Amino acid sequence: MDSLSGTFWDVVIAGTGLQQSLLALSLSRSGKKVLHADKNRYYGGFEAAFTLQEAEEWLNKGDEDSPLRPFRKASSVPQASLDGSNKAPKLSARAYSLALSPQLLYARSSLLQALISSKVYRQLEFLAVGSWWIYVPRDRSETGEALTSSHGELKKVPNGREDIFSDDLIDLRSKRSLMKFLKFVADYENMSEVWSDYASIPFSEFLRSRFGISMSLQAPLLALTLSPVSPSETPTSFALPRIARHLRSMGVFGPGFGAVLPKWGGGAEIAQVACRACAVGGGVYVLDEGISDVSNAPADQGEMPGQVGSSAHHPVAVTLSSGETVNTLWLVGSPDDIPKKSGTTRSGNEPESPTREEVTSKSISIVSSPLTGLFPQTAEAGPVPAGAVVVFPPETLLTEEKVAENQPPVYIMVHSSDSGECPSGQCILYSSVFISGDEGQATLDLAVNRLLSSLGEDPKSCLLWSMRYSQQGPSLHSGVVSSCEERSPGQIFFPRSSNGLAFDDELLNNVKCAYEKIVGSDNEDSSFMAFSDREVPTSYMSDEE
Amino acid sequence: MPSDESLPTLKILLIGPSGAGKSALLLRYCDDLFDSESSTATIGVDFRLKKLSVRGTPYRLNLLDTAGQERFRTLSHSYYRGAHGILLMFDMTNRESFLSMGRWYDEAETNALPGVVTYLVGGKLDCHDFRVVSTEEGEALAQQHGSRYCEVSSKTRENIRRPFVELVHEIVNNPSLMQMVKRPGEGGRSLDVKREDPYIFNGCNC
Amino acid sequence: MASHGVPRTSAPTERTPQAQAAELQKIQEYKDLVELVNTKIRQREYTADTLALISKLLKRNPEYYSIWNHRRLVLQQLFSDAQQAAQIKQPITSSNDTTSHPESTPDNATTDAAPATHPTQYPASEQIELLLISDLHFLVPLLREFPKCYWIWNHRQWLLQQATHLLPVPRVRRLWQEELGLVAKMLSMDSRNFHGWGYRRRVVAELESPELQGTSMAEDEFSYTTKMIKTSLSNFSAWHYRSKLIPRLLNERGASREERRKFLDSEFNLIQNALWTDSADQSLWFYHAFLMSELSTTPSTSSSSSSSSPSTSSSSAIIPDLSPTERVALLSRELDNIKEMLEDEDEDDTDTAPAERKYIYHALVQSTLEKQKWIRAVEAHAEPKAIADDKDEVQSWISKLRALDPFRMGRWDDVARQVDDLYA
Repeated sequence: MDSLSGTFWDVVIAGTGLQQSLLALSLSRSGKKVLHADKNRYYGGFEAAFTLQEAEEWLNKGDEDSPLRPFRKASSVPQASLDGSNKAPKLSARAYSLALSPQLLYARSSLLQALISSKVYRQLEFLAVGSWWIYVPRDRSETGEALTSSHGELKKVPNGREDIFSDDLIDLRSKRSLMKFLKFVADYENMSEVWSDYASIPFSEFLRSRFGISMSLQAPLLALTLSPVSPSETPTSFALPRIARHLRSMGVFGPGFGAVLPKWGGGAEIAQVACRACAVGGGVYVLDEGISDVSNAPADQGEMPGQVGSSAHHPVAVTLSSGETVNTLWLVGSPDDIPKKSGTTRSGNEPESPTREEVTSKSISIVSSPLTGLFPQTAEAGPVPAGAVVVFPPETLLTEEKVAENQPPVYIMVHSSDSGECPSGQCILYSSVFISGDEGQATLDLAVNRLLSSLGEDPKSCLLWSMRYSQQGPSLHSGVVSSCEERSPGQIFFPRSSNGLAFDDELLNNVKCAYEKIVGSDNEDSSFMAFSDREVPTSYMSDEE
Repeated sequence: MPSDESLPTLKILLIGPSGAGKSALLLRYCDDLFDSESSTATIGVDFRLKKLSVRGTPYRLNLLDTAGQERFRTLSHSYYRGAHGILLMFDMTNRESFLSMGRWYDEAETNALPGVVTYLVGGKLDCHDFRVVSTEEGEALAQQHGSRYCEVSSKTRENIRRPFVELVHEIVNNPSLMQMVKRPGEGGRSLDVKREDPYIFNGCNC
Repeated sequence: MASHGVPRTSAPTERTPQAQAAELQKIQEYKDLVELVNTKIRQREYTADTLALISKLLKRNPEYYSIWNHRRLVLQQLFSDAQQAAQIKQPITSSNDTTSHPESTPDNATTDAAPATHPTQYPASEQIELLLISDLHFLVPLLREFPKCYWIWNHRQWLLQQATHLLPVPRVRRLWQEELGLVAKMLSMDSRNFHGWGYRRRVVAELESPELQGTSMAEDEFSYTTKMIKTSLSNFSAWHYRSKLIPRLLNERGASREERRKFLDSEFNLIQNALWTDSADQSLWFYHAFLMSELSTTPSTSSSSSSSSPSTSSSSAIIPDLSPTERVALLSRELDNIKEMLEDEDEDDTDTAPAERKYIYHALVQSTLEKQKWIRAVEAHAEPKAIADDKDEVQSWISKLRALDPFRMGRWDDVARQVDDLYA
């Protein structure tokens, strides 16, 4: 094996999660010597995408003991088909690319802008996320069934003016109220007089008293916020920017949709493409190589020839899990990738996280049919989407023994086979709910079952395989903004990726924060992620056979 | 005559252990250059383009090198996406290089589309005296994986075009592979995110 | 505003000397190319090579209109080259088969009467078709990049006209049909592209023409406008096209009076739904005004008091024989609908934008004036009290309009005079 210790590195990046990979991308033209290592054998960290086989391996590895491992209680459940035979259908393991943190990407997001300005978008494919659906239990007075009945249907969330216009179930007066709200939200920053008094009040209360929007019409608006918590815990100040982001992204890349998903597993694919860009720029990649220890480099390493000014600190000595030690000016990663620095005065204490962390239950299910009904064309001559979002408002998943108080909603992102994540004829359900433990998983199972039965496909769709896990990440709704943090000289820590269902622009701010520490903040703004296309050597001489 | 940009594009990957001569092969094939001093992969080149006509039909070859990610075997899944053909290359003067090819085949078969065309290339044909892999061994390995095999020298140009021509030949004779050959602008369902739509959808007409 | 508020990624601001040099070199290359093309044209080198040079030039600057003329010169030469080559190749003694197979050869001895491009004989049609198709394809990326460049659309139409002259009908139809698909695609990308809509109407007219053995496409086009409106309410061109299609549509349907009445109601429903959704959109008020104009043609029993009435349009296109009573009923219904929009709002409601309220008040004033004219036509002696109530209301709306849009005082004075005249 080649030796890594012969080089004095400018930057060692630990982990290939999205933030680290984007940092690698941002440094790909900086001339910095970058060593990028990941303790896993795969790219992507918490944003990884797995084939079935890789998923099984990951599940079996079981990292339950470590408090820093964000995934817990993972298990997979292969299911028999419903045709009576007990034999589980054989799945082609390689045909899957299951994303641990599937997130949708809004057209008006700084991440997408960065992917474009850094030119890596050329190596990615983006597909439309089309309809948002809300699960609505069928009227009980009509059917005489209990609330707990599994009967219900999906209703399309109006995505904007034209959807409101076309929706025959909304009366004219409500259309007008809804539109007034949408117009307000499009410019809410400049209209603080309308909402400042309501900022910390539940959003639904704001909608009711300020815009006269009834309960039944609030659910679609709440769905667009992707809020992880119950309506009563979702304040106006959380909801408005998220609805505005949704509406402002509409139509940017085509009619009738505003969000996209990167093909082949979303963040995982972005991470891999970003890493290749760094490799093309000379970065060195090692997988299956964690960091076992960090210390100050010996004094004689302090003055390296050719190292100019950007850091006043001593280099860091990083011991890799293979035993090799490398010296670097900067070490960047998340607390999950970098052990506490040994031999520092701050020993004994757990590194304090500035952000509240919380646990979300998740599951990934492979469905035996394509659920085509969830992916209507976004508009006349618009694209056929590859993603859909199904929202179960809290009250729709109550069981008889449970009280309604502060029940969070369940979100299911459905990806069609166009996403490259499953073979054609199937689709993937990515479900999540902000409830931990067994209760969270039970809630997800309930939602998945109701989703499938509401679609009334014939033959009934069934689950071919599913896996469950939980993820710990910074709180989305607590309002605390985390950023990159230099805990000791030369060591930069990223916060964990959030559990949000849409890529958060905060993520790119963290990357920029680290980038500026490394290259020096006196650099022009525009150099961050703004690259011209690499020159492509082209042979114009035609090669005739 | 269609312009170069509108030609059907074939994506071809080079893989194989460090030092097999992948970059040298590309440089010789595309630019007819050979640099005996250079031993490290070119930094800053993402891919190369080359026009190749097979039976009078021109194709645009999009040739990807490993960008050094073969060194610690860290090529990603995404590197293999949409590849029509893969050239696997080893150094005929290095036994270890040849012995590693089984694992490279595994990786290619795991990550690439079923039906992708593979082609085995033995490099450094000019170094006769140091050769430690026989033609028969190379051919046997290739046959085992359903590939063709040839031996090249980037230094002397011997056989330099053959792997590309034969690989492209096999690709274009494979209807299911050709189905996924895209012309620019045919993105299938994927979106053009560079071109912002003038279409404004939300309620605000301001 | 909101939709445009996000800054695009900044382009590199500082340009290196290398970049500047590259830019200069590009400009020089362009100049050389222009010179080269002009030389070739002067020397009458109307060849495929020249065509390729012209393509290269037009890709860089499609606004250079005389180059488009050059392109047509070259293409015409290539067409006639193709025709001549075909005639040379074909033995004179070819079969007498005069069906329109492209392979078939014109029998020169028997076709004296027919001009060389007579649409039943196509010695070189395949080759010409290839030239035409490849030129049509050449334009697509240009249109995508420069959707509003007139010359590209112009050249496209010329190509298709050539096709009509030079190719057999089924093939021409196919080309025009593909054209309709292209326009649909362009309009889906930019639904308000005015050129695109005008072009669509020309393509449809062509496909409907007897020369191409076409039939009316009014029904399909009408549904198309519905789809486009559902995609974007603000699509003025779609609303406008819809209003133009209606008379033909109803005539072709052979619609009965009852069917016409139903049709009118459903169009009013559609526009009410749209206005309740977004009464700030001018396109919607345009279509509403169109429908109202269907109700408000000048009463035939001329009323002396409405001498200032500007309306002298012909009878309604949707229902030719609406009675004054029906008109009053429909106008009243619409008035009530619009009034309702203002119902929940107090005087200084900030939720409804001024522009929006202006549209509403204006529609109210106009509709009331029309209604009053027809009331007078129905009964010689209208209830004086009702009229007076109306008058106060109308005057309050006019004063609102004065406040909302003081720049159009003259217009409001005019309307106020009409009111005074009417209620005098």
